[in-house]
Amino acid sequence: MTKRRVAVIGAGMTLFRRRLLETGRELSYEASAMALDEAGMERKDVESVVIGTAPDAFDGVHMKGEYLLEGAGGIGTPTSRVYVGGGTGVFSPIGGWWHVASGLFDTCMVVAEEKMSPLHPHPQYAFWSIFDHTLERPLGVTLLWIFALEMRRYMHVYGIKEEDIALVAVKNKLNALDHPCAQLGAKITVDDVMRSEKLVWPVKRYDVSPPSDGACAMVLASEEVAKRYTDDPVWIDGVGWNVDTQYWTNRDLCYPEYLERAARMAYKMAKIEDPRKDLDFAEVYDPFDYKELHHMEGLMLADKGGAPKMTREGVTQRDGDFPINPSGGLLGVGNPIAAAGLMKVCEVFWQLRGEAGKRQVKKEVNRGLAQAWGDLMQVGTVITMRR
Amino acid sequence: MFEAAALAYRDAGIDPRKEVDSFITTSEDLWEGWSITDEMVPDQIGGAGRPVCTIPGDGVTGLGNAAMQIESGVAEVVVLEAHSKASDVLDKEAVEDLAQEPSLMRPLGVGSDSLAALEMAAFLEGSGFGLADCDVVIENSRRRGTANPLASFGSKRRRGVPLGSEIISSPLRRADKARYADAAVVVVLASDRWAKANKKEAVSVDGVAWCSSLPWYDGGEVAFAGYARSSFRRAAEQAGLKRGLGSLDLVELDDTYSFKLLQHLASLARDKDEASWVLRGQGTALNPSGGSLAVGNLIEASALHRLYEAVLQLRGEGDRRQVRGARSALVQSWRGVPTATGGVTILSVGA
Repeated sequence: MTKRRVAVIGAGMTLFRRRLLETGRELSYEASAMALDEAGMERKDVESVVIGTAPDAFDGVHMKGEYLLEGAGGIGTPTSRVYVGGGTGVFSPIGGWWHVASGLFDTCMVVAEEKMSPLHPHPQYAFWSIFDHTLERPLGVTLLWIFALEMRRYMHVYGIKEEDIALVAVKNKLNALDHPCAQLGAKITVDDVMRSEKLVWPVKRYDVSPPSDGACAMVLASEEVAKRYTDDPVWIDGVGWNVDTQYWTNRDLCYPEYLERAARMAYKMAKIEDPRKDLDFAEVYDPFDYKELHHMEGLMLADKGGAPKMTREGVTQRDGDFPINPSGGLLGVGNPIAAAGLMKVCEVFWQLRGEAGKRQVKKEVNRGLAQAWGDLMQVGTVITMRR
Repeated sequence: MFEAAALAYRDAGIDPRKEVDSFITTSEDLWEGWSITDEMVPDQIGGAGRPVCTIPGDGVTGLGNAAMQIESGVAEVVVLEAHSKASDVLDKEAVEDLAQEPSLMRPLGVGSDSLAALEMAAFLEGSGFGLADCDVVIENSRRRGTANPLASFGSKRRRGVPLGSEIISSPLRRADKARYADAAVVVVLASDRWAKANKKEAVSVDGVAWCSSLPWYDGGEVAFAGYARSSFRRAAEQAGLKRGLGSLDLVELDDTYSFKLLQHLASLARDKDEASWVLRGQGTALNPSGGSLAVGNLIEASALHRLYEAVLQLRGEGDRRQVRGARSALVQSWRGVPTATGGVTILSVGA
């Protein structure tokens, strides 16, 4: 039983692009100013700030939360940085949630930022420092390698074809054409994905989301405060997070157990017994196209190995029975790590308020979910929201 | 991490795999060459397959977030972890320099010690404190550290003997700066309900607050630390503390640099008389652990080391450095150069 209800009353988002000219501070400022505008609030109304950004190495700034303080409105306001690697974007509003649910604060500004482009020659180099320095770095391992292993294992266990997985990239990039902030919206075919450059088999270029710069923000408020600002709050009714062992080689990569545990935590809080029936749509973390399928299964939105069939049958299309990633996801909108996760939570908020414009899903939606994933393939973060 | 966690769990009498709802590490990225600190934490503290996260900061921010998790109802028992393996870092100032704003500030090439020295000069100029006061801070800290078996830099050097310390960046001397040390600290927090149901003799967190103020080099105050003052006011309000520092039995204040202890004391005290009173050790005990100047700079674990000391004192387990009859304590923290971020927590027993 949680102490207080927590509402989302405003959200903001910058463009997601490669090599934006704005600094991280400026991106944080832009996103938080937009969220305040939508909430009808001023900075003085914000009692606490939660910053989500990870890892430090991306912006080349140590203690990045301190660096972003000024742009996020954290000077003179109690500010916490929270992170769980790639899961940070969905975890940051979870951190904001406990700021308000605890009763210590009535409002919280949640800001997530990532600026990957300063890293040379490529952002992938930042990930080198996330590997164990004794056991893994000497192998010259990269994230693409280990995700290729995971993708291969998932395909092998359930007999999934590359073409089935490519359908996710086709869907999400098409959805992103309707997102005004998207970086890589496109009308592509399965054949385009299959013929795109092989990076680490079976991962091809179109299977992967791009490195991006960007920021998102969201204003959370207690029930009493929310009612002063809006007649249409969206409630956070479930939160969950879970981190598995660092030693990913010791796990069967075909199924994200950590995500199931995180989802069960959130579903229990939200009193969701059958997520497929109780939820209307989901923003599922898709830095790679296979991950959307993998995560749908971990979230128990599909049977194990069953997500490709749902995708093939059009269930996950924006006008399908259970839309997945109507925003366009990371594959289409872009992947400024922490900001990408919060983008998903913003999308759930806008969809539930009916404010998603051309992206609005066709059926009536009252309940949605956002999820992210990170660290060394070991973190699941889940948030459920309702009108 | 494993050693500290095992000791903490034994002390609390809990099984982390069954009785802990959430784990928080407060250690920051890049120290020790790691990114995404939380991925290396769960296995060592019994958190694998459980809710774990990083809330990097001075430890008090982590404590505040743990308290909020408990108050929100999402957790009843939360483990807080912080560690320093500073000895693995060949060039610590290079890491610290990366914390400077990258476009306008870092290109100036002013290192963290030089920034601290500039702040020290401005503070001494405007506060009425002098280098002699810094000497007293250093001597007292090191002397107290001799009674702390965990302190690496305790010393019984007699007053009046020159410090013999070279200038790092005028007026900052080598002795003014706490030396780095390795350590890990793990603290188990629980709801009042859980503690009573499990018959634990708990120390109560009566108030906890954290804040970031405008750094002095961006136009912020230097005569006092805004983050410390603001945090103290809010924590004191939560704790119902009405008579200021004088009503506390002991305080553990950040002394990463000798002058910072004076600045932090000046920020928390109601007036200079109260600051002098505490500094002279009259009534409220100041840094019985020996502080960072004696224990060592544990980077992001520094605040939790102070919290650990306060808990020992309140439980009457301070051994040779026990503050007689200690029932209430304050812990104050700072994240270090170039930040103006810190927090305060107020603790008690037997309320």
